[in-house]
Amino acid sequence: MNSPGLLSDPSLAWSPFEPGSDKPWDLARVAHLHRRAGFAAPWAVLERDRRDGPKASIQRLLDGEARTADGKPAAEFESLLDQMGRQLAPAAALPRLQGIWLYRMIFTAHPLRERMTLFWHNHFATSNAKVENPALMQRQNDLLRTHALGAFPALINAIGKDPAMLIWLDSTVNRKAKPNENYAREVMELFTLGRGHYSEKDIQEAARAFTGWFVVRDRFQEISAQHDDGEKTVLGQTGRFDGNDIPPLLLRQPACAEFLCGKLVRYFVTEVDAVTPELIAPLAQHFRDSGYNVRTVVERILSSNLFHDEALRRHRVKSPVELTVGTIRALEVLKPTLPVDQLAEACGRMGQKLYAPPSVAGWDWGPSWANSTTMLARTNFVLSLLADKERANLGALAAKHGRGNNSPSFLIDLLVQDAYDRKVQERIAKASSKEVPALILTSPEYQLA
Amino acid sequence: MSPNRRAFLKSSLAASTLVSMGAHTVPGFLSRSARAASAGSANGRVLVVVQLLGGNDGLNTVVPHGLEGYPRNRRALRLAPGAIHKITKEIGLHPSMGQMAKLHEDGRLSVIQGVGYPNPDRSHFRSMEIWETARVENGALETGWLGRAVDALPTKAGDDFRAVQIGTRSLALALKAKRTEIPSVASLEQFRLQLSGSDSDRRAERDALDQIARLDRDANDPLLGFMRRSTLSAYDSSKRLEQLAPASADSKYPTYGLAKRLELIAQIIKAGFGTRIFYTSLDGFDTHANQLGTHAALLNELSDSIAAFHADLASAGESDRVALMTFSEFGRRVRENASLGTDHGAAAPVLVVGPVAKPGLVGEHPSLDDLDDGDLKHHTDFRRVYAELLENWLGCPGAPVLGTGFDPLPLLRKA
Repeated sequence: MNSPGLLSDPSLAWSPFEPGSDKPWDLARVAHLHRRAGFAAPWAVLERDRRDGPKASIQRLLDGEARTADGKPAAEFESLLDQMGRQLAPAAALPRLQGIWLYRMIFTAHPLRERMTLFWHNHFATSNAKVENPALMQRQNDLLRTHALGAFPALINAIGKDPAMLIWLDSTVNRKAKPNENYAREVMELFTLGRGHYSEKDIQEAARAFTGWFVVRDRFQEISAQHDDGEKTVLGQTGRFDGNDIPPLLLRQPACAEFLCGKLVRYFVTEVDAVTPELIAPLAQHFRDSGYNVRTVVERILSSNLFHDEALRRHRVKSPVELTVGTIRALEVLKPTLPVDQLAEACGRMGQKLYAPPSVAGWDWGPSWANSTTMLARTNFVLSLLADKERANLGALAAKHGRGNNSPSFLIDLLVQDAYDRKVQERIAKASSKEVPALILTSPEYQLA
Repeated sequence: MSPNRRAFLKSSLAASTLVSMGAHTVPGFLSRSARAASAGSANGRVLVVVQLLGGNDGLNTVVPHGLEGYPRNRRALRLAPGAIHKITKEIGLHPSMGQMAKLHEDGRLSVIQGVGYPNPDRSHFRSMEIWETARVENGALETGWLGRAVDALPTKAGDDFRAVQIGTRSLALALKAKRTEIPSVASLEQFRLQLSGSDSDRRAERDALDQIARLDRDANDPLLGFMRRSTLSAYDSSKRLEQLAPASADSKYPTYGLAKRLELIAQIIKAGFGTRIFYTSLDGFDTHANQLGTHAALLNELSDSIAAFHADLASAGESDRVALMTFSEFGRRVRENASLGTDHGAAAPVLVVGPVAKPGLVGEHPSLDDLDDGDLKHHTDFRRVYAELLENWLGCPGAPVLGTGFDPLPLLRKA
């Protein structure tokens, strides 16, 4: 794709965004921030954040709001959801597990934290299809949420002992005599360094360090008699390493911060433009200097000129979860609460089954969300949401926000802002008021973030 | 997502901007009689590809039970010689593959041994990219091998989609083309627009949805153009497939997922669509632990599903124009691991079902002693198999798709 100027100017790209006459803090910028850093936002939040400016808006995303989408105190809501998660039976149905998370995403006072939890779920992609234990999957989800905006070293340590992860990667048995290479491979290839930054020998040696790590009756356990206590050489370092010694060796590699920052930039900034090592370098340096503090690097991204650059608007494809949760939040379809297990199934038909990513590499994202089955599923989601008159009353929504006339302008402002060119605007202006919401929500522009 | 895969998506987006909406990107739906469609295409031959995801253990699929190295390397995972369906004195099919063995007896199965590529990569993702793009060099991953074949097949306005993926995965890299968005169908039920109201309401709503996607947009926004074409391809293919008769109530297919996907493929073939390439997959072959039961169940699903598919086509008189190939991104280590499983390996067999020229084994079993870092060495490059399917089956020149130097490996009967 054409490379907008900022992508080749790392220093300007990562400098803080300051609104100006040529780059006003307008509705389109506020909505962009919430599409990327949260799951869209209701009209009142867009209005408030337009008044308050970028700094306050970004700070609120990082800290979370005081109240949920339906006005409950944030802490009370979180502890209620934690409790629901803890009560999941090991044999609970997958849609029940998925539904709890979708419910949290819809109502949460801290959309960025859920968004980052989703990022880590994709990064440490683990599927219940193999684990077959929703209670363990929920525990992993809680772990990802705890560290979502925290220190990456703590997260990578914890995930290596997470029972769901180890079951998923067939790494519940790590005997001295025959080391299991799978976790050692994935921790380098997918979790920290990326291909090309380690050798097969590094994997084999690291696998020896992980010997003695077992999962017994759904719990992580170290069995020292099965640990290979000999010397290993991993990434140029030699020592009598055990599994705990491996993450620090990985974090010392410059490739680690570069790999993670590259993924964060694709998640928050663009899925289609060329992202060069030069662009990533200052961000990766900042990430390492902060001791791999995720909040620090995410704040840097969200505050940057690059993030707010008009030229990169809608250079991501909304994932099914972003599309459905975002639509529900923007349209305030909150009461009575949608059947979230059905919503989970709809996301599955669109290609994103939560807790069941297609492989340990997670989902492919970007253009690969779109194929004919998934596009039909998106349209069918929209049609069924709009047909649910009990929940989706768009006339009342416009009236509540003082935009009670019949023109499509309120829905355009709320959902797509500046996305349409003249021809599309004209076609929508011609549509009947019954057709307008479906046309906007199924338009190619609305599928982008 | 791997950097290569991402680079490929980026370049395929860039490439798609070169093409405006036209005959190539929109499957057309002129009504034609069923048989005319197949008669009208170059030779009416169809290729079905079944991808075995995760890395199938070739050694326990086509089993060298008579070679001394087999019991030595497979102690816990060794399959009892008595239960193996013998092809030769030394080599046979897994005990769960009885239906496949019958296809072999009927002269409909070829087993190509020792297939792979130089410097094998043991990453699932990289090795899948190599098999799906037919490019072993890093980078240069604009399109998949079948996508390039679709781009090269003759096409005209009103043709059916040339290729389709059946299944819930995102579109396989193998099917990424430059000139078209190949549809992917999970099931017929999921492939309908859920419109409501009277017939005329439904028609009006369908038209309005179609129009909003069809309007021309800024050509400098490739991602928007791609979403637009994907939406239109979905609406168009759905309209076409709605004309397909439902599967017959007395289906003879087993209840496996793969069987259901192959049954849908057979329905489309029997209805006379002009579709030449079908792609589907079976997941779960990454058997690092407790492999025996899992692997037996997968091979049973594979074998019974393919046999039901073949029988269905044969009774409709269609089986001589359909060739089916299975492949996996790699085989597995010769030596089993400590978890009663096997780790990522290299060379493995490819199966071809249909009007094969030489039923049975093609090529020698790779040595179990002369290994490459614990893995079997390949002797047949997978691109020679592809060359055969492209040139001598689909009638599509191989070199532009695969590069030069890959002689077709003789596999299928010449018409």
